[in-house]
Amino acid sequence: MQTLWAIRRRPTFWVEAAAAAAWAALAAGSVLAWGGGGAAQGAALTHGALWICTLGVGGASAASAHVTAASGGASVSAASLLAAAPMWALMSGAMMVPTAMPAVRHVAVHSLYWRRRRATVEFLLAYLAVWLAFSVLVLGLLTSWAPAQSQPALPIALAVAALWQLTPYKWRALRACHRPSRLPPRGWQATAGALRFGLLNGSACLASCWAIMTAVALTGSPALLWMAAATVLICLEKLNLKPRATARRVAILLAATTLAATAATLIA
Amino acid sequence: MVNDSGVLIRREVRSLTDDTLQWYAKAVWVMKQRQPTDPTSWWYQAGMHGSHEAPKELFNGCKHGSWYFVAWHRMYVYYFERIVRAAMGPPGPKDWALPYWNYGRNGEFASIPDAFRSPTEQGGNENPLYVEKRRRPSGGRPGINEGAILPPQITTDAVAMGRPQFVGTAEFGGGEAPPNEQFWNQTGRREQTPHNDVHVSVGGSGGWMTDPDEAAKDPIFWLHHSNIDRIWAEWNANHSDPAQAEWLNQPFEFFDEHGHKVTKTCGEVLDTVADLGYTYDVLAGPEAEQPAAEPPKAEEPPAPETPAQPPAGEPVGAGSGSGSGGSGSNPGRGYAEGKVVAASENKVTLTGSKEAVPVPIPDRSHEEVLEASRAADPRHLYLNIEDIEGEKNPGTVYGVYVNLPENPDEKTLAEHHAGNISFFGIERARNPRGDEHGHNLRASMDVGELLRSIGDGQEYRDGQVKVTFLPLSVISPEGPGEEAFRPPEEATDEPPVHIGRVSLTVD
Repeated sequence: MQTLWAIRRRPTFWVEAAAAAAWAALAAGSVLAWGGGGAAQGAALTHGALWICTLGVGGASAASAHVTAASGGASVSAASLLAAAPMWALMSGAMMVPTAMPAVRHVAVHSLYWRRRRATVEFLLAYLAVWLAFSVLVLGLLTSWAPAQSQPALPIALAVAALWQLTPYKWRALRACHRPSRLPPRGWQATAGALRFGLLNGSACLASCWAIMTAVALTGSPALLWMAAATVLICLEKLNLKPRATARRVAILLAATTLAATAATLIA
Repeated sequence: MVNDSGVLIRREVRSLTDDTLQWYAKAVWVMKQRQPTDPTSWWYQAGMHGSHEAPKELFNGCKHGSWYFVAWHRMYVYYFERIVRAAMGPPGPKDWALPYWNYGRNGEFASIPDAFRSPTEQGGNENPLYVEKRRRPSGGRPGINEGAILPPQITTDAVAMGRPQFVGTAEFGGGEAPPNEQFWNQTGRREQTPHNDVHVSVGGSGGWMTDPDEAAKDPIFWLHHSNIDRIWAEWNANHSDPAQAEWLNQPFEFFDEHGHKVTKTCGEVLDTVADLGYTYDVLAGPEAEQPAAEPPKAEEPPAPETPAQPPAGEPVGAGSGSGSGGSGSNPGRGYAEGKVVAASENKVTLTGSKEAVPVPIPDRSHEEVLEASRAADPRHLYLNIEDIEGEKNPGTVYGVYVNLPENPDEKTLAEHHAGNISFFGIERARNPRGDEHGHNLRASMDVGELLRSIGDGQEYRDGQVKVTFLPLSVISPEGPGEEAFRPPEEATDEPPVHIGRVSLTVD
């Protein structure tokens, strides 16, 4: 009971709970899509999540976006990209928030104690906005592009991700993920400070993880497992004290996955 | 020398009447002649602390801003002492022990001993204990090799000795930190003052002692660290070390006098007598040689800090670590466990002159600040200097003063002194080498008692706590009574050090 109380008293408890809820929603969406025959289509999870978001948005355009994306159609409208935004937001939240917990904790602990939750929300909004913009504008377009649906797309994306791991840019970005930013205590300066830190941290995170996330976006079924695996890898990288060594190990894993994906493509 | 039980006794350097320092000089000379690839050579030993050169085995191993600071340096000095003793060869005294420089006695004791100041020995030979790269004369103040005296604000161990617990940034030994990082930001009170402050005061701008990658090349480094080790041993007499297994079982590697690699864990060096076979004259009982007479009283202003007392009934050293992400309620753990009740709105940039920053107390935390600083309240009120960053160490120590009135006299200065900040390792913390994370430095000080004593509960009712940074200068040996803080007209254009924020937290 005491342990439970101690956990609930953590200033970041609700963020951890929200990330867990996002995963639960994705899992539930995946199961629902499966039950609805989505499994036969592959990409069960993506469609399941999209199904959830479609329910949430409830618009006809969103439903048509679902149909367009599911059928792999090449026609992409701004409306369809926007309609997929809630899904990308859910996926970004589930995957990227756990990897940003040290920064979230930094914001919570360094804010006036009655401003902790507000500052954390401000930080997360800016942080997730970076990922959402990337997801909608880059991943959304990419996954709607016919060549990206072809067999070699995934091995190529995995190979790019493995190579990115070995560049100094990657290591620099990983280091930048740990750089704090000044947090003024009160007023609009406090809001600006939390947003600025969110943008800085989100940009560093994007520079570090864009390649892995692109590969995940191009995976087929079961996407939930790919997403979980990528989250674990990114957490290992970002939370580890020896980022360069860990990034190298992740590169080896990605290279092995590239080979496996290439073999699977050739067999198919 | 040894006591009746054969335990080596490290003595205060100014109390020596024998040839201990001559033998040290000889051994340093011998070690300097050895090949740099020999782990028992002078340059290799220094490189194990830090080095700008291509790393050799066990190079760049020092631990700073960390709760491992004290234990790693105890092991480092212990093996160095064995290497020095062996380097003297058969004619050397078998019971030679490293002396310590007790600058905390102030006055002439706070200048480096004569044997380290002259480029040549008697007879004209090069003096192995002399280093040219120490603080130079500037602003009318002498350099270290001219006999400059470190001011009492820098040499004091009063705050460190007064801390009831080991673990915590506002406590004696520093906060929990990863074991393999050279520079973290969990600096404890003893590591800051006197350790960091003395390093920077001796090295000045560009001197060896200011740079962690060169510091151990200066022979005075080892007497400084012998003193830091003595302070731990004295504090230990009635305080406990960390009980966490991750601290006790953490191993570190060194080379012994035969050049063989050896390993010790923190738990294996806690008792200097039983574990390592040495003690200090002040701890060794009446058979040990007593230090020389007290220095002139004129050089001893009142102790700048009032050491905080542990709250009644609090178990001493009862830190139960839960990692940096923990949320335990141990008193005195420092920032990580506290909540922010006030913070400055603006950055401060230090370039060698006096700077002040207001920390406005929001109405909402007004009562909490007042209550937390009351004697009966078990909570602590911490002053935190956060996000300290700079590309180059300016070689200046700043005193941190709380609610300092205009034109303070020496007594007022002492009463309002919360502690010091200096920036040993700032370059390495920001731009770490190899596979380490960069970060900013920080310092935390327990100021509840200080606010209570200077303000009588009224001082911060005007809605803010004012924090003043005063650059502290060395004192001329001919100028007793000379103020330690640098007057504005002496301000220099130093490499800037930025302080992102000053905050108050309550645990």
